[in-house]
Amino acid sequence: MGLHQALHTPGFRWRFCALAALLGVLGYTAVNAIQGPVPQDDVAGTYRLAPHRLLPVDSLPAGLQLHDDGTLILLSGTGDTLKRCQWHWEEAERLVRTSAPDWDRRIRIRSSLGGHRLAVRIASTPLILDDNERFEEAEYIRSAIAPENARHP
Amino acid sequence: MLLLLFMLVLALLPALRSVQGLTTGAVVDLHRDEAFVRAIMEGHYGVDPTYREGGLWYTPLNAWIETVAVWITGLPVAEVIVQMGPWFNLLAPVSFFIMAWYFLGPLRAAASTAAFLFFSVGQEPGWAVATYAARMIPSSASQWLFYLELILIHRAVRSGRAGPFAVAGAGAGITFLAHAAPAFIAVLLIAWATIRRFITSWRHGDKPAMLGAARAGLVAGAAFLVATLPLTWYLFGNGTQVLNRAGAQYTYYSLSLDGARIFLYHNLSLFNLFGLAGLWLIIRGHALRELEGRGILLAWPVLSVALAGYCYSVAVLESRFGIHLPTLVPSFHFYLYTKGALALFAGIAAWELFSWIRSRALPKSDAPPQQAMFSFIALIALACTVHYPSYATRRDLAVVRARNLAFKEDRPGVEAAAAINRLVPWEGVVLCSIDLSLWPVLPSARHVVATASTMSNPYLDARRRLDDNEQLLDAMRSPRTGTAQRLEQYGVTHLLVRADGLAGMPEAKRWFPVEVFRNEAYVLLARRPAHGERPQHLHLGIHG
Repeated sequence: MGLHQALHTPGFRWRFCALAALLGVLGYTAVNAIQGPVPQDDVAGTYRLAPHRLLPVDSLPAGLQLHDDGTLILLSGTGDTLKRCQWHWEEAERLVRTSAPDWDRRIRIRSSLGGHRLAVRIASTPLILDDNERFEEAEYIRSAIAPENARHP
Repeated sequence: MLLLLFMLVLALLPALRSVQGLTTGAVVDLHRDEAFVRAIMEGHYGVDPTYREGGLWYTPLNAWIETVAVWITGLPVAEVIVQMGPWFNLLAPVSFFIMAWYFLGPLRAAASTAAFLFFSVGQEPGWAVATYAARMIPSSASQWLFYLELILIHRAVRSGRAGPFAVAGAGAGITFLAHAAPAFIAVLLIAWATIRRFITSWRHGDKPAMLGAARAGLVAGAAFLVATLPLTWYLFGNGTQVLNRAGAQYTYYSLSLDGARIFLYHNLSLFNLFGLAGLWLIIRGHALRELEGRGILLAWPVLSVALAGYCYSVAVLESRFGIHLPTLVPSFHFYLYTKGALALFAGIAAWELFSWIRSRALPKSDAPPQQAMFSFIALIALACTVHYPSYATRRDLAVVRARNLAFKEDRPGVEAAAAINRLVPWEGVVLCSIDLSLWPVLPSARHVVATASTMSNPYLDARRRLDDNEQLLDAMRSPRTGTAQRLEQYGVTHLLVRADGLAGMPEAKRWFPVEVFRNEAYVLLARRPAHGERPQHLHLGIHG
């Protein structure tokens, strides 16, 4: 049956209206899923680097601590502090801004089917200079330990 | 159509958000396009805004469209280029949908367009993949012409008459004005179809058909040449020997042997699995039995892969073994069109999978076929919705926006670009370091002695210019012989340096005694005051 025939078969109208309604609901759901605010409190926490097989993540810290008091601590695999700086959450852009220029706008929240994920840009080239746009990102997994209870290296 | 509208709105919303509040883009491609737009607006179409001796070398259609948009809106050039991207690039999914419907029918077209819009890009850069992108980068913004051109080629091949071949040839020419890569594929498709018809006729001893094929090929070629005249007129007028091969040898980092793991990271995907399954279905004749259409849809990815391989081989052979082969364009442009074909095929696989599952689940269903149609559309919409959070926050929007925001904070650069355009006359030439030649000089559409070879005129010798530029900058640090001749040779009128770098150039004030612009980041000096200005020893700085 061709499309033309299908359009003139009985029951087409109500199916069409049902489909339009379904698309409306799905569209609303989709847009709503990415528009809600992500407050700073939801971002603060302790994170560890998720395992990545193909991405070159060796240069990234094994862990991140985003403290409520505005301190960002980058941790090595052995728990040593690699860097400590100040951070604040740019809610509109879902970006972590830092006092350390090389980490500014490098950490963000991106969404997925499973919810929000902390993503860190792997390349350390300052954004503004990266004409090749090597913007691959590694994901970090939130740890159950609150940063204030985590070992403060 | 309802589903297409649903998908377009979903794709458009995050794209619009990604450019919200931006007045300039960070990427050098947009700055190059801005230079060409400014050149047209200042009445200098057909010349290179970067090198004084150069002619038009970049495909001009995008710049024409942007110029018209600037003229209609009255907004600043940079703002128009950055803000029109999400709207203009809607042409890509719309023409992809039309093309897919033409070849495969509406249901497969809907699934293919969903794959094109939401699933092909993943976390790759939008300029490297056939998809809807938010930026007016020519590789993205020119796709729509190619998808429509495929229809023209098919109509020509099916009819075999000279008229449709002329239209297809002209279409390929217009595509060439937008971007060379899709035009190469289109021209090869036309050539392949013509040669195939010629050989078939020859084997059958059918002389009239042989002549018809030859005539059709010639007419298509002539129409192509005529349509490309707005570019080729200037190319042929200025010499077509490629002296700077760097631009064509640019390699998208994931398409190199060193980037193989990143390539796999991006390409071990469900999208590619569906695409390859669809390709197999086309080869087996499941999805499309009509021979000409099948031939075109199969030749498209084969040519794209072959051309990508060739362009990458040219770059490797030259960089590692010093072997020079003719260059075309960077290999990633053909990777983009390979992905486009996979998006089309993914729709075929999705429909076949749906039909197969439905036939197994409801073997004796007497439900009307329209129920299957509605179910399939609903499933596509559901798949788009489920994937949407990842799509809408993909790097191509979010990280690019972060970069644009960082760039927007470079207020001194924006100010300097405007000042250079205002204070340096069109025929002026600015001496500056290569990084400054890209920003802030490039978007100002003012000439430089040398710029990055990947962004410069392929028909002028970049290496000699880079050497001379370096020597002239050295001459600003300490006295060098031959400086006056070199400055005269390139017609240098201005020097642009970073404000904190001027102290290290004691000779600069000797050669460029007039300060015409200064802010906290940049200083622009002139060799002599412009007509009607005060004597050269006076300080003419705008911002002190």
